Amino acid sequence: MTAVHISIRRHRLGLLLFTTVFALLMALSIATPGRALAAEAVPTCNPTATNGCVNGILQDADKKPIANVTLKLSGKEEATATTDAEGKWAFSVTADGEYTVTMDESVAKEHGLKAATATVEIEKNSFDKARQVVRFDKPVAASANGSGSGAAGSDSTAGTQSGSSGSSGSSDAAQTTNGSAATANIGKRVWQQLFSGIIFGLMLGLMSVGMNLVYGTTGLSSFSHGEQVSLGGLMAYVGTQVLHWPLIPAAIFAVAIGALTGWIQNELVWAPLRRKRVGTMQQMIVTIGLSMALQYLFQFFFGGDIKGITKSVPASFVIGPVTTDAPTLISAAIAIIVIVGVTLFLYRTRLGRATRAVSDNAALASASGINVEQVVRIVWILSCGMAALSGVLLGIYLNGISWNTGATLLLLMFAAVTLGGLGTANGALVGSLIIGIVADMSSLVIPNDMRYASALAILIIVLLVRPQGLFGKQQRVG
Amino acid sequence: MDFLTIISNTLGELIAPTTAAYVLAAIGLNIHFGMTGLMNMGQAGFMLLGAYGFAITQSMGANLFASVCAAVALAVIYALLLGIPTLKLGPDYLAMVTLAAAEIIRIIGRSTAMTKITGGSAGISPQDFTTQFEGTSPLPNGSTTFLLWTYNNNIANSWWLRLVAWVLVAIAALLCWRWFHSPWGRVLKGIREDENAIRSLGKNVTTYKMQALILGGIFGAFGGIIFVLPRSVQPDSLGRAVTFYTWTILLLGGAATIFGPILGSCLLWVLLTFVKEVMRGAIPDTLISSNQVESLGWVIVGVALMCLVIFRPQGLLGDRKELAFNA
Amino acid sequence: MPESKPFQDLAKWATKAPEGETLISTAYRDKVSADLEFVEHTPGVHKPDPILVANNVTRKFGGMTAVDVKHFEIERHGITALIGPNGAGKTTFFNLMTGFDTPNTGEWRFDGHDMAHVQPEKVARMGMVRTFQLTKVMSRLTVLDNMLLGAPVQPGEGMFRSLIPGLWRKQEKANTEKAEALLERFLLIKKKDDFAGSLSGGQRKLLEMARALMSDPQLVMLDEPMAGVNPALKQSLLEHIMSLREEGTTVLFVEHDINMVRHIADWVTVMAEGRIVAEGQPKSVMEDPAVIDAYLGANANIDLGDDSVLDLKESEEQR
Repeated sequence: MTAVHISIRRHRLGLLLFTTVFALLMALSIATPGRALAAEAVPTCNPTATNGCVNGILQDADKKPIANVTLKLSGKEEATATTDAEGKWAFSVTADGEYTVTMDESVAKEHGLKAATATVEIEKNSFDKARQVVRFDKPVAASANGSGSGAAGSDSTAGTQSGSSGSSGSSDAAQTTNGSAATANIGKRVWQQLFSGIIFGLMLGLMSVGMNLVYGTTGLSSFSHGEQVSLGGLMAYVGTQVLHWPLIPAAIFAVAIGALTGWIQNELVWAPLRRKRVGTMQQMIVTIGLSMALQYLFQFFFGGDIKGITKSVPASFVIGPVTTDAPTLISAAIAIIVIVGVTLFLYRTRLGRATRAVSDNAALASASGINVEQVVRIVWILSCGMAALSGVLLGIYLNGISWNTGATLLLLMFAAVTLGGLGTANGALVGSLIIGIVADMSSLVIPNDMRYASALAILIIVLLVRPQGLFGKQQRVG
Repeated sequence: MDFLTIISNTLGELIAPTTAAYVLAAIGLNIHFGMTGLMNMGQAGFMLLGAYGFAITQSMGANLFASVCAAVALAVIYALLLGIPTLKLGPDYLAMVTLAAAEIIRIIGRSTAMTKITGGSAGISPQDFTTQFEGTSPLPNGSTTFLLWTYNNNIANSWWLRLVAWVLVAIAALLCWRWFHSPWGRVLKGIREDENAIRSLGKNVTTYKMQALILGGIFGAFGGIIFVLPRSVQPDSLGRAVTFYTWTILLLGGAATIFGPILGSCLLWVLLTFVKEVMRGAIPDTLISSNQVESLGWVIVGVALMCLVIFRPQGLLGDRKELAFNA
Repeated sequence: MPESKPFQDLAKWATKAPEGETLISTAYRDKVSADLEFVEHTPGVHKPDPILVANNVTRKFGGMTAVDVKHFEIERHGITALIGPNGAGKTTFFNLMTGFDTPNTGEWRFDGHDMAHVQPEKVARMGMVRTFQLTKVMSRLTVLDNMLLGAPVQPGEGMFRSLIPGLWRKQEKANTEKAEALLERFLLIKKKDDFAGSLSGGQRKLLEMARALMSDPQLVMLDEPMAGVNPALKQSLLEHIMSLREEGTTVLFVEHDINMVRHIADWVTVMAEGRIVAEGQPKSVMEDPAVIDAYLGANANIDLGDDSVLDLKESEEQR
């Protein structure tokens, strides 16, 4: 009886500590709930249920910010704003519909901008139209497209739009994703979507490989893995925007925090539950609770809007048929390096082999002298660290991260993991790439806002045909 | 903030249609999980389909009975589609597939391409589908005050809706009681314990699981109808969060018990509303905004779910020895 | 079609002989002994009146062949023991015969019916009921409920009919009487309202066997029925098995205790490395060099006493 009591007390303490740590971490940031009732100029604008945002950063042809320029908003609602020292300006609007932003013709000429007006469409309830980034770097005729997205940012889960003001105006055929894309080059769009699908798949891979390692070693499908991703992105935001660190230390900080939470939660929650021999289904519901608690803690501290990790607008350039920018390529490269690193770790190191042995059969591994708890601890640290890293990369790639970014991606992670085969690390990567590519490519044929549905549909079809997933082992039933 | 308002708002949750809707959904989930051990992580999908089935046919002018049938039919078809590929596989698969399928329904429902049918993300507004239901009310027009509460008799969040909702709950609980204590319920419980043993005794396990999935889904669809009647059909209001709330309710009250879902739903909403009302009243808006109070409410639910599963997995009414979780 | 069995009302049987008293009738024993007397002692031999006939049944896990049975017959009304070292494929063979696993090749007939691709629940309903090596009781149901789940007829197990108690109360009462009689026989009657999870390992074995008998099966396949049962109960369990034969039930069981096998079995089949290596009447088989070799061979010192380790081994071999 005493033993039970002690372990229960340890849990309570554990939970308490766990939440306190999170609370402290997040107390570093200040919530800025910004709301407006009619169109008005605001320093920063965040879309909510009641307002949309028209904003941008005014830069000249050399990417230098233009301060103190008066911009006029017309359309459904009207207002004027002045750009700040960084060239930033924003309008908060309440009605859905088309808005046109105009500046003085002479100012545009003076700074070498191609246009002095731009029109965007706001739709508050649509994730990707609640905020529109306006740019003046294209002639009026071409700039009237809805999503002012630059490089391959079309799969922004949280609805961010990368406000890129690339210098390659006319070659941005890929960005006319909605609206009058009759002239769009179909071939180019296919390549562009394939490219962004691969990038997205790589980031998804970073998340789901970790998730699958946890599943393999402990049998737990963690619903809170999405929040680990959000945590990474938000910690990077804290690093760059609150603590004003450079990006790289901030990213390292975020990954360290992620890994730390992995270690802490294993020590305080999962390890005691395993010792108590609590079933994996029961543990899974604990992860649901944890996911809910974390997600709304994020919302509590960071608010409901999208947090940008970097402020600068990267220059996009063209490689072959696709348009991209340096941060995207660097993010992809980091993702590949880490995934290759983890694969090498699993196959070439003693600890990695031990991890695989535990995945294959924990009882057997334990019997042959492997310290299963040690392996599981490493896996939790690794998996949460990778999730945090993917959150950072995703935040850079999508130009922002919000409290529920990870939760939105959770299902795609599950899909990727199941597709590849539960518990197989390399399967998760392949599954992620497939899911990423399918999700992005399917927007060529079905409405853009249904593209995640297609990825999830694939999951169900695969289960019908090959329930163990692509790389899974057939299990003896009965 | 005056104390009486807090009390009346809080206790109002006790009889609110939404509370009843969650009871119905949790009763369905109880058939899935408490009785049969199926990990349905997409009860909101059944609810949303039920709501769509009802509201869309209503807005097209079908009669009330036909609309309810349409909602039930959709839930049955959905359960079949989910069950056929997954019921033979392990519990993890069912959990993921139900979760994914519920999300697919929501994504499709809120898609702009579906605006003509489902109203897209804005949904279907109440005047399109509630008039017939309100018209069937035998109550006189106007509003009535009963004890602390004043509601309209027939319109929107009305006494009539409350009456119908709780009568439905009573019927559902009665049916469940009958099923729990019948040989059919015994087979389901047997499947929860060890499906191979049941198979070795000559019972067709897949059929039983399918029956349970369909039945629980139908209760979910009814829950969905009740859920949308006082508001509009908005796909995002029946997302994953609703499923997780339903799980919390079931585990709070106690899985595999008859009154667990009812107690769980009433208690959760009353407590949650109370905590939120008090926070709104006691903490100045400058310190914690009203949105943040909302978030904190969620955090409380999440932590409560974790603590429940860890420390009292049998819930308030359950018997620890007859725990629905497999060890 | 179904063989007419002279006497198989188990409820009557269960109440007939008070506890401890041996049944006098040995009619089936004598008949089976006489029939098997002239059967050759070679693996895969044909028998006079087989109830189960298997041909070329193989099951591979990855590169390893778990079961490779060329020909195998079980004599009707007899008690056949299946022995062999651990990992010989006995449990896998059980799984294959009862539909819980699908063989790579082969066909088998039960009472003349082709059983390939028949679902386990159908196999059970056709009269071939099994128990599991790692006992499967429904821990969080009462002992009596466990028994009632074994009853073959219960209209209340339909979803709609279950709502009207009038349709199933009578059957429920009959089933309960039968279940209580069997529980009495298996010394579990005092536990009938306890959760099955509270029983000891030996009692679970008894419950599982009693539950299997609820459906009056033609063939019961018992996977290590004696494992974990205390010696006092063992004797009565043996008597249960022997009296089953006298009710006309055919018994196939897996056992490690050679003495026990010698005591009750009419016929012994020995498996090693997935193959049947010897068959015969108990006395002669025990002296067969192939059997001694199989038992004292390479695997003799490895203890693979329970399913979990067996599964472990198999999953390892799938790789």
